[in-house]
Amino acid sequence: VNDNEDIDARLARLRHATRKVRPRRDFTQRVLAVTVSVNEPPIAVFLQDLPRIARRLVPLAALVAALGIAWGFTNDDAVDEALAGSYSATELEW
Amino acid sequence: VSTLEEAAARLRRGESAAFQALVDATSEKLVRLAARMLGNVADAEDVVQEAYVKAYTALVDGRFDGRSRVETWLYRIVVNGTLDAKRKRERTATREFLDAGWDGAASAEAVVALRELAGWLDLLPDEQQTVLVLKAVEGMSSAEIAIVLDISEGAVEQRLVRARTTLRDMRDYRDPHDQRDKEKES
Repeated sequence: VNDNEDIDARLARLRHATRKVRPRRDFTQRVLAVTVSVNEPPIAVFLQDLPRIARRLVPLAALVAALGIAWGFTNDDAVDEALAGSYSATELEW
Repeated sequence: VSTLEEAAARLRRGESAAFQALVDATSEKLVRLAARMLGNVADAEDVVQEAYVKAYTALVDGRFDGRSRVETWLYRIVVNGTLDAKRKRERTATREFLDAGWDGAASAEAVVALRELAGWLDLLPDEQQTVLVLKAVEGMSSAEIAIVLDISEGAVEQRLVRARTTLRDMRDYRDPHDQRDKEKES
C-alpha cells in the first residue's frame, strides 16, 4: 500500500465517521434571530426596546405625577386668593 | 435556477422570509465542513452563524454580484471564517459538544473523529488543509474548489500534492485504526 492510499484511506474513514455531524436543532432559529437583530435599523431597535425602557421609567413617572398633584393642591389656594384680589380690585375700579 | 438562487433572489427583493429556506438548505453541509476543520460542532456553529449574518447583509445590500453560485459563495465565506477562527481561537479540544439529538454511538464516534481530523490537519499550513478537506473529505471537484478559494485549478492540484507530501514527511499519515488492526493480525 503506498503512502497516498494510506492518507486517502484515513481521510475516507474520518469522512465516514463525521458524515452525521450536523448543527443543533435550534440552529436555524438562532441564526434568524441574530440576523434580524444585526440588520434592523436603529429606529426599529429603539422601538423594540421602548417598552422595556418605559417599564423602568414607571416609578420615576409616578413620583413626578405625585409631586405635580401635591404642587397643584398647595398652589390652588394661592391662585384663588390672587384671583379674588384681582376681582376686588376690578370692582373697586369699576 | 436552483432553490438557493431563487431564495437569494427573493431576499434581494426584500422577502426576508426567504433567508430561512437558504439556511435550512445549507446549514448542515456548512456546519459539517467547519466542524471538520475546527474539530468541534460548537465552534463550527459560531463560524457558520457569523457567515450567515455576512451573507444576509450582502444579499440585502445588493453586494452579492451573482457571478458564482450561492452555495459556492457561502462555502467561501465559511472557509474564510473558519481559517480566521483557527487563527484567533485556541483549540477547544476539551469542550463538550455532544448533541442530545444525535444517536449516542454515532455522535461519540463523530466527536472523536472530528478531533482526530482537525488535529491531523493542523500539521498542514492553512491553504493545504483547506484544499485537502474540500477535496478528500467534502468530495468537491478541483474546479469547484478553485471557485470557492478564488484560485486556479492548477493551484488546487499543487496544494493537494504539497499537502500529501507534507503529511508523508510528517510520518503521521498512517491510520492508527489500520495499524491496530495490523498489529492484531500479526
